[in-house]
Amino acid sequence: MARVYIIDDEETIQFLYKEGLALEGHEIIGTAYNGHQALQEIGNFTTYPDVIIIDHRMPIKNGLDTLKEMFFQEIPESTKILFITADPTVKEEASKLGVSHFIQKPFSILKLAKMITQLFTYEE
Amino acid sequence: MTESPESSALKTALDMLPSAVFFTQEGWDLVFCNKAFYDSSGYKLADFEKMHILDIVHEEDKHVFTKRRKILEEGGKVPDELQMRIILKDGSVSLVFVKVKDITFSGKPARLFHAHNISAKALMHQPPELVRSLLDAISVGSELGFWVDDIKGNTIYINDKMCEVLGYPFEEIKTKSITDFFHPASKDLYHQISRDRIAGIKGSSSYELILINKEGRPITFSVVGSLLHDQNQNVIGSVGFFTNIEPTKKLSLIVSTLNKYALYSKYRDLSLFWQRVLMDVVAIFSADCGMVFIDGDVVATNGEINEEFSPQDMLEELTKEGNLVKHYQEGISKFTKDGKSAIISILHLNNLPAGFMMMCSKIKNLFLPGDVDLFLTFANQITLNYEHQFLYIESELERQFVSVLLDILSHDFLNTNTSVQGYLELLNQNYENMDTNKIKDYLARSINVVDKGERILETVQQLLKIQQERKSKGSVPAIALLENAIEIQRNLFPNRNINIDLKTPQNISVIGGDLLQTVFENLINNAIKHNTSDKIKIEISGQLHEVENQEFFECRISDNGIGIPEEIRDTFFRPLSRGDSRFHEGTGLGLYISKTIIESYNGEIRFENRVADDPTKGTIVVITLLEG
Repeated sequence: MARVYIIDDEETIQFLYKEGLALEGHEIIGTAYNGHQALQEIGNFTTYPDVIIIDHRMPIKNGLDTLKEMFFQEIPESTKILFITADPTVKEEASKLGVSHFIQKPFSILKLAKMITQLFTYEE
Repeated sequence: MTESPESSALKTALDMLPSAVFFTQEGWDLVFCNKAFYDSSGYKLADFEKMHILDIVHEEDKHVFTKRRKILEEGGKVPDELQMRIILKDGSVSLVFVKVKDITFSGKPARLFHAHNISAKALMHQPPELVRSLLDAISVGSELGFWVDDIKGNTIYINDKMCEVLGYPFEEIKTKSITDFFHPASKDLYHQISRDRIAGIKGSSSYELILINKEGRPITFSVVGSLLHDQNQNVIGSVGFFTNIEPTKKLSLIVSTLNKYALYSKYRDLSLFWQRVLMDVVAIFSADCGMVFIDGDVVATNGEINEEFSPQDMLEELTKEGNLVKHYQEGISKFTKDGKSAIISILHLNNLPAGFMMMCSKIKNLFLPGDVDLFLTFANQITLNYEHQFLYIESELERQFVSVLLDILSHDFLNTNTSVQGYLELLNQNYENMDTNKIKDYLARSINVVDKGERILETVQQLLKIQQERKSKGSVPAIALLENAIEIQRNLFPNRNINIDLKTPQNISVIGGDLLQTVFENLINNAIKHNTSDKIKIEISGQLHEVENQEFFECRISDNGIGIPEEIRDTFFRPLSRGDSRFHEGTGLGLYISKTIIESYNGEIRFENRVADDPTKGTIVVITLLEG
C-alpha cells in the first residue's frame, strides 16, 4: 500500500483524497495547500512518499512551477508523481518534468485509489 | 602714395586673402574685387562692368562717400576707417568695417577698400543712434531680434523686430534691462550662462529663453549670445540674437504629446488620461486653467481653478450668450471676455460630438490665431488616441472577463463536480459500513460544495453586473455606502463581539456605482471572518487628498485579524491565483471582484500591515477613489 503526499489548495478535496485512498489502504502522510508550502516540506523529507499528487491550479505556486523546482530536489525515481489538471495544454511540459500519470478533472476518487493500488501491485 | 606692384601679382595675392578687398578708380568705378568679396557678396565679375561703388552701398550710407569726396576736394583729411552697409547680390544687407588706402593700380591712382564683417567691438564704440541704425539695417526683412546691453545690464540697443515681438516701443523698452522681461524660469539660466562666460567657462552658444511680452504672453526664443570686450579684453557688455521659436516649439510639443498618449497600454485609466492630456496641453499653451467635459461630466480640470476665475465660469458665460451653439457649429472657438480669453474645441468621439476641451487665461490675447488651429488639430487627434485607448482597454477588460469566466468553469466547477462525485462514490461504496456521523459529514461536505457552487454562480452574475455598470459610473455617496455595509455585515455575525469605528468626514462623494457597497461589505466580511480575536476591532478612516490637481478619497479599513503573509500578499488580488482555503471560506474570488470593481471606477486597492513589519497583527486595506 502506498504512502501518499497531497498538494491541493482545496481542503474538501484533500479530505476526499484521504477518505477515498484509505479505502484501498493508502496512507496520506502529509498535505500542502500550494507548491510553495509543499517544496519546503519535501525538502525536509527523510523518507520520500511513494506517491505525490499535485493539483495544477493552485495559488502562490501552481503545479507546473512546483514540478520545475521539484526536479532539482533529487526525488527518487520510485516516487510516482500524479498530476491533476483540467488543462491539457500543460501535459507535454509536465511529462518532461517526471510526471508519471495525468488525471483529468473531474475524476472518480475510487478509480484513482485503485489506479494507485495497481501501480504498486505491478511494480511489486 | 604707395607704388603698386605688378597688377597680376597683386590680384593673385589679394585673391588669397580671407577678407574682402575691392578697388575703385576714376571716381567710384569698381575695377577689382577679390575672391573673398565675390564669395561673400554673391556678385560676379560681370556684375561690375557698369557699376560703381555707390551701387552696392546702402542708400542711407551714401552720404558718407559724398561727404568724404567733398572734404578731399577741399584738401582736407578723411578717416581711413569707416562702417557702411553693403547691399549683397540677393538684396540682403551686410554691415562691414572698412579700411581705406590710396594705392596705384595699373599705373593709375586707385583706392583700396579692405572690408571685414563688422565686429561687436566696433558696435560698442559707436553712438547708440548709429549702432541702432546699423543693426536695423542688418535686420531689414529678418525675423531676428537683437539685444545689446552693457556690463551693468543697461539696454544699449534693441532692434525693431524685438520691440515688435515684445509689444513695447523702443523708448519704453530702452530704460529697462532684458532681465525685466524674463520668465522666472529663464532668469536663473541667463544669470548662470553670463557667470560662466565671464569666468571663461565655454558652454553652448545657443540656448532657449522665455520672455514675457506686454500682454503677459510667454514667448520662447532661441538665443545666440556673446560677450562684448573692449581693446583690453575687459567684458563691457553682451549681445544676443533672438529667434522667436514659440510657434515651432508649440508644434513640436504638440506632436510629442500626441505620441505620448498614443501608447495604448500606458494609460489604463481614461479619466487620468484626460487629466494628464489637459495638464500637458495647458502647459504647452501657457494657459491658466483648462477643463475637459465628456458625456455630460467634467472628466478633467487643471490649473488655477478658483472662485474668481474658472473654466466653469467661462463656460457659464458662454452658454448664457449662446456662443457655444454657434461655435459648436464652427467646431472651435476663441473667446475674449472681461479681459480673459478662452479657446474651446468640440471633441468628437465615434464621429459624434461628445464633449469639449477648454483652456482659459487671464491674458486677453494669450491665444494667437495659429494657436487656435494648433489646438483644433490637437483636440481632433487626441480624441482619436482616446478612442484607440478606449477600444484597447475595453477589449482588454473583455479578455480578462472571459478568462476569469473560463477559469471559474474549468477550475471551480470541475472541483465542485469532483468533490460531490467523490463523496457520493464513497457513500455509495460504503454507506452500509459507515456510522451515521460519517455519512452526515460526507453529506454536509457535499452540501457545502454545492453551496459554494451557488456562490460561484452569484459571483459570475456579479461579474456580469460589473461589466454593465462599468460603463455607467457616476457620483455616489461613499460614507452612506460604508455605513450600509457596516450595518449589513454586523447583522451577519450576531454572536461575534465586533467593534467597528468609522472616522470619516461626512458627505463625501466619489466616482463609482452601487457595487461600491459590495466592495465595502466584502472587505468588512473578510476582516470579521479571518479574525480569531475574542474582540474584533475594525477601524475605518477616510480623508480627501490631492494628487496632480485631482482630489482623491482614501479609505483605510484596518482589522486586528490574522493578517496576510507577505509571500502570498501579491497573489490575493489576482484573478487566476487566489489565496488558499485557509484564507477563504467563500469562492475565493471576493478580493478579485473587489479589485475589479474598484478599478472599474478608476480607483486603486492595496494591502498594508496594521503593525509595520508584522503581517500577523492584522491588515489594512487601502482603497483610493476619485472624488466626484
